[in-house]
Amino acid sequence: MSSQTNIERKVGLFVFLGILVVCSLIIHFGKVGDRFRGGFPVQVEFGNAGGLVKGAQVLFAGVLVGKVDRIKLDSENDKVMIEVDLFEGSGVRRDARFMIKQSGLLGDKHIVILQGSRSEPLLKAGDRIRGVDPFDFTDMANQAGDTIRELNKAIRKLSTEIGDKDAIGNISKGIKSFTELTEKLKTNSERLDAILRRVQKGNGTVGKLLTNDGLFEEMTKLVHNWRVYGILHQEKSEQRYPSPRQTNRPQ
Amino acid sequence: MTAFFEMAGRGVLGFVQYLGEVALLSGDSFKSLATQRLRWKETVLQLHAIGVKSLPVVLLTGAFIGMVFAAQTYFQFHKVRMDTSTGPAVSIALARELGPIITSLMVAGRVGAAMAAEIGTMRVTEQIDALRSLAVHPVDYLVAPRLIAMVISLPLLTAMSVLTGICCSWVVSIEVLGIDSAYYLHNMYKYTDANDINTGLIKVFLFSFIIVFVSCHKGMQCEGGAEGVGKATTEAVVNSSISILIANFFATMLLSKIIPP
Repeated sequence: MSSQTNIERKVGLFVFLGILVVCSLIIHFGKVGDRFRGGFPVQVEFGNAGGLVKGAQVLFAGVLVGKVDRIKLDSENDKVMIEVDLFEGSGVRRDARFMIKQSGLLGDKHIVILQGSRSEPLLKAGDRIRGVDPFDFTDMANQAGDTIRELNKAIRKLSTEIGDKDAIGNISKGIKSFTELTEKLKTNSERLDAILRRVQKGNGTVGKLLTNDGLFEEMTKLVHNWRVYGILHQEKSEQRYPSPRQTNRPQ
Repeated sequence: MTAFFEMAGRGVLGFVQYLGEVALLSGDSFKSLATQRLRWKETVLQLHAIGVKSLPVVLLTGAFIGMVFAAQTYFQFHKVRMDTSTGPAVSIALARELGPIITSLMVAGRVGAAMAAEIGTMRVTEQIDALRSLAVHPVDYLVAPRLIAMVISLPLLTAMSVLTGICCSWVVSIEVLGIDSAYYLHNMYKYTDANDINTGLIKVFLFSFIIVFVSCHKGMQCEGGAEGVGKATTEAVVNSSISILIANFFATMLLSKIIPP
C-alpha cells in the first residue's frame, strides 16, 4: 500500500467520521426523532401566554404528550393562539382544561392538561379550545395595591373625623341617645311580655278571642250575616238563609 | 510630539495596508477557486495535515475542557441544588463557544504556524518565484487547496471536539461528581438545540478563512531568511488567534440576531 493511498484512506475515514458526528449532533439535539413521532395540531386560546416559549412541554397526568409548536398573537381578539402538537394516542378529551404552569428554579413554563369528562369525544387535529389563563401575580399585586390605597384613604378620613371635637361630641350624644333608646325598648319589651302571657292564658278580650271556641262561632256567624245582608239587616237570618253550621248553632 | 503622530500614522497605515493585502489574497483565492481546477492531490495532503494530524490534540483539548467546565459548573450549581443543570450548561457552552474557539485556536497554533513556515520558506528560497516561472500561480497551488482543506476540516474537528467534551463531561459528572445520569441527560437533551450546534459550525466556517488567509499572507510576505520565517510564523499564530477572538465576538452578536439562542 503506497503512502499516498494510506493518506487518502485516513482522510476518507476522518471526513466520514466527522460528517457522522456532525449529523448525529444535529439530529440528536435537533430532536429530529420527535418530528417522526406522529402528532396532530390543536389550537389553544389564552388571554395571556405567561412567557411560554416554542418547544415547551405539554404534560398530561405528568406524562409528556406534546410540545408547543407555535405562538401567535391574535390582535383582533386580544388573545394569544398557541398551537400545540399533541402526540397520537394522548387521549385528551374536548372539554379538557389546558393551563400554563411554572416549574423549577428557573421558572420554565409548560402546559398542563386536566382531563375532561368521559362523555366528551377525544381531541382531533385542528380542534380549537379555550385554555385557562395563568394566574398573574402582577395583576393581583396591582389590585391589592388599589385596595390598600382605598383602605388608607378611609383610615385617614376616619382619623381626621375622630380628631374633630364636634365630631367627638356628636358621637357621644349619639351613644347617649342609643343607651336611652335601649332602656326604653327594654321597659316596653317587659310590658309586652306581660300582655302576651295574659293572652296565652286566655285572659282579657284578646285572650278569650283566641281561646274561646263559642266566641269564634259567633264571630263566624256575624261575618256571614254581614256578607249576605249587610251591616244593618233586620230579618231573622236563620229562617231564610240557613247558617253554614246548623248543627253547632247557639240557641 | 510629531514623532508620536508619525508613529501612530505609520501604525494605522500599516494596519490598513495589511488588511488590504489580506483582502487581495482572499480575493485571489476565491477567484482561483471559481476559475481554476482544484488540485485534489494537494487538497487531500492538506486535509491530512490539517484534519487527521490535528485530531489527537483537538480531541484531547475538547475532552479536558469539557471535564473541567463540568466540574466548575457543578461546584457553582451545587450551591443552589441545580446539579442536573450542569449537563445543558456544558453542552451549550461547548457547542456555541468553547468548542469552536478552542479548536480554532489549537488549529491556528498548529496548522497556521506550519502554513506560514512552509510558504515562508518557499518564499525566502525563491520557490514561489520558480512556480511563477512555471506558469503556476502560487495562490492556485498553495492557498486554494489549504483553504478548501481548512473549510472542510475545521467544522469536522470542532464537531468531534464538542462530542468528546460532552462525553467526557458526562463521565466526570456521573462517576466523579455523582450527578444523577438520567436527569443530567434529560436536561441536556431538553435545553440544547440544533441551533447551538449550527451556531458553532457557522463560526468555525468563518474562522477557517481567517486562519488560512492570515497564515498564508504572513508566509507570502516573508522576508529575511530563517529569521524572517520564524517571525512570520509567530506573527501568523498571534494574528490569527487575535483575529479569531475578535471575529468571535462580532459573529456571536450577529448570529444571536439571526439564530436567537
